[in-house]
Amino acid sequence: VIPDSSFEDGGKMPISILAVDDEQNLLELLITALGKRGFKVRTALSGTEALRLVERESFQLALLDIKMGPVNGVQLLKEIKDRRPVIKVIMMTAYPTMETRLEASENGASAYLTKPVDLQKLVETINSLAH
Amino acid sequence: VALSDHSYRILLEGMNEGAAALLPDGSVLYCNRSFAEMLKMPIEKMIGFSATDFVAPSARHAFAGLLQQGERGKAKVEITFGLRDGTLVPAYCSISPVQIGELRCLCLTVTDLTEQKQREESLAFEKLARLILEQAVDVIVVSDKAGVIIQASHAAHELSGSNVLHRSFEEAFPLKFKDGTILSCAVNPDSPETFSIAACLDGRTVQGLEVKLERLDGKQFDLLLSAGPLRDSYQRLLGCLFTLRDITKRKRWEEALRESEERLRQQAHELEQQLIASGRLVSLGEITASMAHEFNNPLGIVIGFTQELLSETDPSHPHYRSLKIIDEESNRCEKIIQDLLQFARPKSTDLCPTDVKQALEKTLALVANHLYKQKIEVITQTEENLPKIYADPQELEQVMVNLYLNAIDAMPDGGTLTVAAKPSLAATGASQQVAIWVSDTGFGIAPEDLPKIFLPFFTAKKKRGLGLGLPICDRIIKNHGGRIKVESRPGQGTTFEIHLPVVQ
Repeated sequence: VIPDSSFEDGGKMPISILAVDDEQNLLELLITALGKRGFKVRTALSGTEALRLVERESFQLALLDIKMGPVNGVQLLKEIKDRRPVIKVIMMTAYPTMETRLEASENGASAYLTKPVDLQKLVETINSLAH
Repeated sequence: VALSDHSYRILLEGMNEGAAALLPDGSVLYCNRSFAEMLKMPIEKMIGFSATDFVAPSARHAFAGLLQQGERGKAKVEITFGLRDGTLVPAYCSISPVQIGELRCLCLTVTDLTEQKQREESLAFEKLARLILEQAVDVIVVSDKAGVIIQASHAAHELSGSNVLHRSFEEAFPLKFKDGTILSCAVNPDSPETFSIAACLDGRTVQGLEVKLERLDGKQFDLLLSAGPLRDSYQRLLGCLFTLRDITKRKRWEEALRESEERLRQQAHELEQQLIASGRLVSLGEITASMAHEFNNPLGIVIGFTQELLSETDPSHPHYRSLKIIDEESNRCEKIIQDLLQFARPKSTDLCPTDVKQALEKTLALVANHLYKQKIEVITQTEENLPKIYADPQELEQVMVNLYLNAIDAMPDGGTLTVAAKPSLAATGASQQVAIWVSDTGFGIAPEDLPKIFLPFFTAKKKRGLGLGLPICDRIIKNHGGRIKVESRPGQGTTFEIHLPVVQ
């Protein structure tokens, strides 16, 4: 498990985010970039690992890569929404298709971003969903 | 017989008309010399012959009718006699009953109309000839032996633009060969491709010689000239007979046809090139697309980290410059990947009414920094109230930015970028379009490179790009139902011209 970033801002609770991707380096980038902007980021390299975290901790937001094995992002989205419907989910994919986009919306995803993710846009999306 | 009276005989024999006494069945009782001569028969053999035998088959019915009528009273009709040698003799016959002793007979007088008919025919023919000459669509001109025009069809006056009578043919119709030499000044008068009135009078004929005529008012004609000597029925030389056929329209059609054939051939060639290129790309496209995706992710991470580091690093830091270069080069890689992806798997075009002026202004703003850095002056000539076009705004912007960046690359030492737009008409005619021009004053494109610049993977730039920018522009514009073309002069600059259909 990758070290998580944590940030406390004068007692104000930081937005907690779960980032799930099978690319470790991308997760590290998210920890660095989002952590620096005041978000609390926890990461998981697989769907199974992500579900374990969801069971144990509370998150406001989840960032899910779609193309992962053995549990893919859309399946993970359903599982998360089943367990914690309040978690807002942002899907990320390098292979945007109409099918996955529809599937994501139907299963309750709040946003759909194309990889490589533009960090600026990601931060804007997170802020608009969290507030 | 009653006619044995001598003075009657003298009278009958002296008549120019033929006269005969017939039995009601038509057999000859008596005839005078003129009658026998008319039928080219010896007079002594005429008695006993049936006059009907000398009547042309087509007139026999009429002759039988005449005989019947003659029994009742006077009658007249025009009858054609058919002689044994085949000659046809038109004649005017009048008949009346006559009593000879106990016998009821018929008195027939026949006036030979041959000469009169011939005169009528020749008059009719002359009239017809005059009508033909006057009304012929082709130009018909008759000159005398000196080459002076003595007869001309109406079309001849029209072609010349004035009355051509009594003028010399060469002056009224200063004909030239296709190469511009005057007909009568041809270098080799013996060549079949030459013409002169003298040769014509000598018996030489020309047929369908292609010539040109430029009138004083500047109007030009393509003509086919035929000419030959004109003789009377005794083979005496009267002059020359010319006909000129106006083939100007045909020549234009031929030219237009040749041009459109040439265009088609060129299009077919382009299409072939495109097919070859896209054939290469179909297989390559799949590999390219998946490879590009695979590169995309790691590259996104590199770019992300670099930007994070750059934002934390002071420009004076020794690593700042290196980070900046990493950032620039990764962005270049990203652009290449985007191009590859778009070319391998183009997205579907989403057309909506788009304001050209706005699109141009927006895209120019995007490259304003580049323009400023390279000291490039921008001139925009966009007409007010341009009609909206059907376009995918994002794709249109992509095309424009691509063209601007090419122009900027072509002007490393500064210059002028002119962007213009105005309404235009499609090549096919009716449909309205908007034309957009992007011109630079840069180093231009070599003529041998010009036909290749829209082909994928062709690039004249040493270090930059994959050679997909313009092929993508070309494809986007074609997907919009438009066209893009280029003109360039090395050392002077390049102009891209785009035509896009407007919202109807």
